Amino acid sequence: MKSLRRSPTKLGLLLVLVILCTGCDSVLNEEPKTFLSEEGVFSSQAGADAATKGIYASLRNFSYYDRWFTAMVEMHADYVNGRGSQAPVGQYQLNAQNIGRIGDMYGAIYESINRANSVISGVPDIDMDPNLKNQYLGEARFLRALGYFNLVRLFGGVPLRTQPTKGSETDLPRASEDEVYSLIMEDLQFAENNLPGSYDQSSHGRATSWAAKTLLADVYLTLERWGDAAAKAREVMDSGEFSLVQVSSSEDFHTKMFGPGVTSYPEEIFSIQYTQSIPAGWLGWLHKPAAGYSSGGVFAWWGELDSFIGQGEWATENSSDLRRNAFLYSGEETQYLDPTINMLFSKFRGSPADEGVDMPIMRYAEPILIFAEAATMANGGPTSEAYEAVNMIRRRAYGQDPAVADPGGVDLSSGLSQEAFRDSVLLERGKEFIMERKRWFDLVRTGTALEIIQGLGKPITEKYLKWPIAQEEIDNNGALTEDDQNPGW
Amino acid sequence: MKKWIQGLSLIVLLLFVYSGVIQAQENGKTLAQVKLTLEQDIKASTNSGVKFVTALKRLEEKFDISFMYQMELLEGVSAPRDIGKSENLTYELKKLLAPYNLKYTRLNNRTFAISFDFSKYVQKSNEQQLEQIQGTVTDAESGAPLPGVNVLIKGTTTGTSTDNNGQYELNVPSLQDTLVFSFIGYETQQVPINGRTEINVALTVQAVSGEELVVVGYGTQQRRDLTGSISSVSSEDLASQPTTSFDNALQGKLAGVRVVQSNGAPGGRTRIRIRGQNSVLGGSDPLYVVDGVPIISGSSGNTNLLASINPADIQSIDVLKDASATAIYGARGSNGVILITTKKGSQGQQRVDFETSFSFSEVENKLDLMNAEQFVEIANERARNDGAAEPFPNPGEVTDVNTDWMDEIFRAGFKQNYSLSTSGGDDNTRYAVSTNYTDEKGTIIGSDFSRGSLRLNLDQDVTPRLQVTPTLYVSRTQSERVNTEEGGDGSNVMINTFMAPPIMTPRDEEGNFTPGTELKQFPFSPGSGDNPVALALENLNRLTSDRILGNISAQYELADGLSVKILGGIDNVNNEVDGFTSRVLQSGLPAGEGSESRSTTTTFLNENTVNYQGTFGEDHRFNATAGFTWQKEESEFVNVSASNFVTDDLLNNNLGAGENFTAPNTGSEEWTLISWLGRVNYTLKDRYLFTFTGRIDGSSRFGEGNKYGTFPSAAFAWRISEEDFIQEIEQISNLKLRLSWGLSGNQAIEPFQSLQRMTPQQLVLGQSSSVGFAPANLGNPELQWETTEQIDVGVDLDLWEQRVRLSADYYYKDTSDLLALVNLPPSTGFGSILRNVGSVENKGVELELGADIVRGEFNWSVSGNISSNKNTVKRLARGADIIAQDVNIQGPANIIREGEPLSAFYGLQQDGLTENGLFNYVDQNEDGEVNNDDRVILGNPYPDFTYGLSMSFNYKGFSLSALIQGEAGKEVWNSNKERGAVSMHRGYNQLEAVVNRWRPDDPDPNAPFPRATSTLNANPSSFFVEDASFLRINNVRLSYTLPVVELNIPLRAATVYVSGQNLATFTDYSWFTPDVNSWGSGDLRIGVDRGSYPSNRSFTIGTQIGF
Repeated sequence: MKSLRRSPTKLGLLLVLVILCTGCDSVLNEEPKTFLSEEGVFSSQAGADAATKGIYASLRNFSYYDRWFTAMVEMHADYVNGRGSQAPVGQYQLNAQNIGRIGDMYGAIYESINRANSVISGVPDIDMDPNLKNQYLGEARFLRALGYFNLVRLFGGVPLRTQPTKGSETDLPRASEDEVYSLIMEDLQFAENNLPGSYDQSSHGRATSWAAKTLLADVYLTLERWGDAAAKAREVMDSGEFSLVQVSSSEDFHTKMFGPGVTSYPEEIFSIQYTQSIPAGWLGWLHKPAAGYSSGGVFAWWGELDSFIGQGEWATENSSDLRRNAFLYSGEETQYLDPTINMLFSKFRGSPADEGVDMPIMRYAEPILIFAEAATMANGGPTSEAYEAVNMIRRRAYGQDPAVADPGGVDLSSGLSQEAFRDSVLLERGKEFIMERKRWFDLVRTGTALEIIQGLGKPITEKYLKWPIAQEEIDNNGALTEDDQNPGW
Repeated sequence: MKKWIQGLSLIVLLLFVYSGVIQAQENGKTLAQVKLTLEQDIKASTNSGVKFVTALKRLEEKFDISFMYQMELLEGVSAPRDIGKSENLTYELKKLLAPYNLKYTRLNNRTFAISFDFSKYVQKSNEQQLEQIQGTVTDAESGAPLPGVNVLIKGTTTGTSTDNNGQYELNVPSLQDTLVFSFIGYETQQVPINGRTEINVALTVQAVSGEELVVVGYGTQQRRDLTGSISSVSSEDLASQPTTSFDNALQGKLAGVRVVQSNGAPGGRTRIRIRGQNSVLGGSDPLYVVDGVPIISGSSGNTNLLASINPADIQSIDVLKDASATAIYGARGSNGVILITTKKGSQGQQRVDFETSFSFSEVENKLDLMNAEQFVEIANERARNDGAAEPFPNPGEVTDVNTDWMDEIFRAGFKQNYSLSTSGGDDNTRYAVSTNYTDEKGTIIGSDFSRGSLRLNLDQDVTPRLQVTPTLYVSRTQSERVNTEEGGDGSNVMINTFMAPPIMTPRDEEGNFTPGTELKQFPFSPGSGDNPVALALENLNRLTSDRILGNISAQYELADGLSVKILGGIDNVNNEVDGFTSRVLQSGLPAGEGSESRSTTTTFLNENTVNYQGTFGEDHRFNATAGFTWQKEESEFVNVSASNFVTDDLLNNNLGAGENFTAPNTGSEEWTLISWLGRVNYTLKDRYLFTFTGRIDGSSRFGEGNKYGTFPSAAFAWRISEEDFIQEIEQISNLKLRLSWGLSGNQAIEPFQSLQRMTPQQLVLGQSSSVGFAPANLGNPELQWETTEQIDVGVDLDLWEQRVRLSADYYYKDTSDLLALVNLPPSTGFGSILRNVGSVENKGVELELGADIVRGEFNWSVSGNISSNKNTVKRLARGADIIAQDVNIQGPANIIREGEPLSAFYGLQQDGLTENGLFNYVDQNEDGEVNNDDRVILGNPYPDFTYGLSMSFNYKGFSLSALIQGEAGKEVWNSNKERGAVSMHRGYNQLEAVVNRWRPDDPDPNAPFPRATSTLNANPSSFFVEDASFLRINNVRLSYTLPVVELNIPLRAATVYVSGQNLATFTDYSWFTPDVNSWGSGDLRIGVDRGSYPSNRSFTIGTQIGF
């Protein structure tokens, strides 16, 4: 090594080799390329917008609205049977596969909630237009409330996560139903106060303050806060922003509301938007005669004729209620199905290559019927306004002008008791909201699910009123044990 | 400068001594006498230096070369003290050897033979009457002339040596004498003159070990100095097998290296596991390093990216197995490292070599399917069993067509291979240039592979202290692929060969393909599938892969024994996949689908190393290396596709001609690895060897808090044979004990996994597409590499002058911090998080044995290896089983469970048939019903033993070699049976063997196949698990090297050969080949066969000509 000491250039060379990498650490920092980092997203107005849109995208999740949530909620209701692997759901004999699907759905709703939590925690610190900031926070809180409202109605009290998930500290016990509802109402109140009443066309599909109010009315209705529910529904009705779509034939429901060619309609309050190039997945499951019905579960849920859809004049194709033939058709019309399956759902339909039908989450008929029910319950009996509300829906259904009274015709007969009137509203809701995921919740909140479904000869039991929490939650959430599972599961 | 002057003066001194030696010569002195004289003279004149042997070792280490010599020649001789101080090897050698009338001959790039230069001894003036003899000495194998061979008259020191053309002339006292031809590295031959005046001799190579040079990663070492476990394959071994990719040729050759030819397609991928499977998610492929550059490996679809390297360009492959050897590769070493060294030029005459070969191949094992009659019978029986109407009430009407669909998709394969290379060099520059073209037609119609490559290697001594070595490799491979991948039923050609009924033809009378819908017109027909012939021919799937691989290194000697080396390298792979599905196929309906995918991956490498070698006193030798390296890899891809074309004619060449476009798909990623490494080899008394290595790797792939990892190793070896008490045992020529411990890592997870990634999410707003961002995963800043701790105990033993060579190892590997997806409570919004949990162990023994049974003109040598590895999953996250993805709609076949081998087979235990002829499954938990809870471990995808045995016989120019190879005690999950051998359960044609099925009129509960019915529940079960042990005659080769000199052919060498590959496989496995693995390397579906491309049997004729 002597020569080294005598040769500074050589020593220098060696040193260069060693020093070459001072400041190497920065080379190891990963710069994302095909994705953004969380910090990157929550650093600008555009990022806040993108993260907010990301929550809407979660509604399209296969396990959320786009399939399992819709399938499970509808098949638990009295009027739908599943086929193939989904058949056990409509028979209230949930097997491992369908319990797994409910678990997937549970996770998908939480994925949506976590995205909302990211926005709620990330957006406040961004330096941006304060109005837009409040709009994004309002949208996030609206969508979080929607998620928790779905969860609490299906599962009862659930772990209440209000912060985006970070790291591996993930243990959290189940909250009470009251705690969950408190958050839902708090979120919706923030949303109704901070969301705009409408958007320009390019943002059509985002949540408005009216969507927040309608959802809040539904929450109040579910909590049997009748006065609040009626008042909130009334706000929407009085806004003048919405009107019922008039129809003169069954086909009009498709050309004016539920068809692939409809981009928006006066009744629309909040929908998941689809287009032909970014199509809905659920539609193909619901109704796909053009592609043939397979022998498995895929395609076509079928109607339970012993339920309201097969009763009274709805049993025939001659019903003058235009909804009958718009929403239902006979299975005999297809060559692929078992002839005993003679009622299928055609409310949402498009050719396989044309699945741009939007999925309504809330439309104007809902606050009207909420008002009818809530006002009656608050008042101890039907009010004239309540009659008018439900009659508007009925008149439209029969092809009449909703605003023109038709006493002795399609209007409900006067003098109904509170109970009879409410039953009429619930039946009206059933018919009006076929395939819009309302019926099961109606049956549960009115406490009639067991009685009505058992009346169809189906073996539903108490435990079906609170679905099984995902097993993965119990296995992996240290704050839960098997005892935290809903009773009976 | 001072040193140089010293050196010069020494040379002058030596020259003086040298002339003195010449003068001292007298004819007739014995060798010993000559040596004695020399010794005295030298000792007297050079003021004594270091031991001659030590001096040689010094040069060996300094120049990464290896000497061969006879010990007795050099015993007690000393060398100048300053030997090894300059960077000019030629100069050093002359300085060392000339004083003793020794000379050197370059045997190959890095090996030199030292021998007496008898030309200096011959006394021309002799009183005796002398007869002149002349002739040529050649290499028996290659036929190349051998320069520098000693030719002695037996019992005297009179002799000469051959010139550059291998020719000699010698004056002998009597034509009744005997000549002794000797040359280091070759068997000595004694040839009685018997009155002849021309004697030509062909010498055969002597097998020796210990002197060979082994590439160890950031340097080379002599095998005798190794402390680690390293197996090597030479270019000769590779050349004996006409495989398209070098990794295939490793099969059966190395203990502890399991090579599964997972796909028989030309250029198809292989699966290599060194000492077992370490990882669940992190990948278990070894690291491949070509001339110092870690290259891009793996596969693109079925195509092996390693096939872009021409095996004929490879000089040697060294496989690093234990931690002492692999730890220098740190976070990438735990799966073993395969070091590939390409051929370099050597000093001397310019050589031009031309090689060509032609191979004819056929599918190794064709399956017998049911003919039309049998098919119609089972179809009718199935319908009757199901209570349905017979599909063929009049069988005679349909059975006049009888298509064997195997015959329709298989063809005779053909491969042609041409290589032209030239090499040579002078004192300062050595070069090797080669070019290769290979074209292969596979045994399935529509599958082709071609490769063109060009390689250039240069070595330049710029000054005695500065050497520059550029290498460049450029290649293009193109493979036309048929879908035999991963069981995709709809388009897999092999699966659809079963789908097609024998009563149908592939084409109509006009030559149009029978549409899939027509083949599937029957009530029993499966839902998916298409005409297999059309699938093979009308589905364009062409991979064009361009590779540029090169590096340049400069090595400079700073001071005595101290040098620095800087290397810059690049590996650039561009893949283009052209796809077009014609409208003839159902998946191409209504009017064709075209796509083009391009991806480019580039690795940049910079290595800076310092090396110091020193000898202190007689007993201490050091060799130390330290360095810093930096590697960065960038990759990008673009996929575009369109459908609905007016015509199929344009294929995918103009996607704008399609009516529908799908959204373009692009991506980009990169990773960086920076490392500091060091290694110290210390040798005490030439018998106690110590190696310490360490590497610190910083990887961008890992979490904020865990960017750096340290990977140390330590090893000790004891060359017991150097001890006096062993030296007395003359049978033992080498005995070494090796012990090593170390840590190495596995960083083979995708980049960016530690970050919380916000990815684009598509939605619709305002009736148009909109994009939002949302978290795709839960980031884990703690994410780090998997660590493998390994201990190895080994023994190397050579007996009877290395006639028998034995090497045995025991190892234990524990891979911990396994990367695993750990489930999260779904209320977090995430299903799982990637974490380091769990461990897997591999332990085993390896034995390599070589023996020269007969040495001499007739040469018979044998080498064999056997190894056994036991793989056990020790710990998993929360102890929970991981079930692999489904193999098909049936369900999963593999499980990862604590206490079992990784990806053990898993399913129901089948126990004969029920009284109705259905599968009878064992109710393991005796709860009265058979369901998923009754699944048990059914088998092991890894063999208990793998072995290989090769033999070679040489006589004169003839050489016969054979390789037998096999695996024992392993199972394969034969998922093909689910389509082709479950009594037409799914409506597919069946193996002919299924005629022995359960029948209602012969209800045999032990029938090998169940009742023909659509209602069969063919669950994943032991029915699909088969013993797939096999023994294969992998290769037999017969070559003849023409005696070019005797025949007066104006060539340096000429060899012709014939060989056979996969001549026979002995196995009980029921499908095409037991050596199979359908899914790619990172997949947990290990040992599963579904729709794989069958292996081939091939016959090759070839010739090698040298000028």
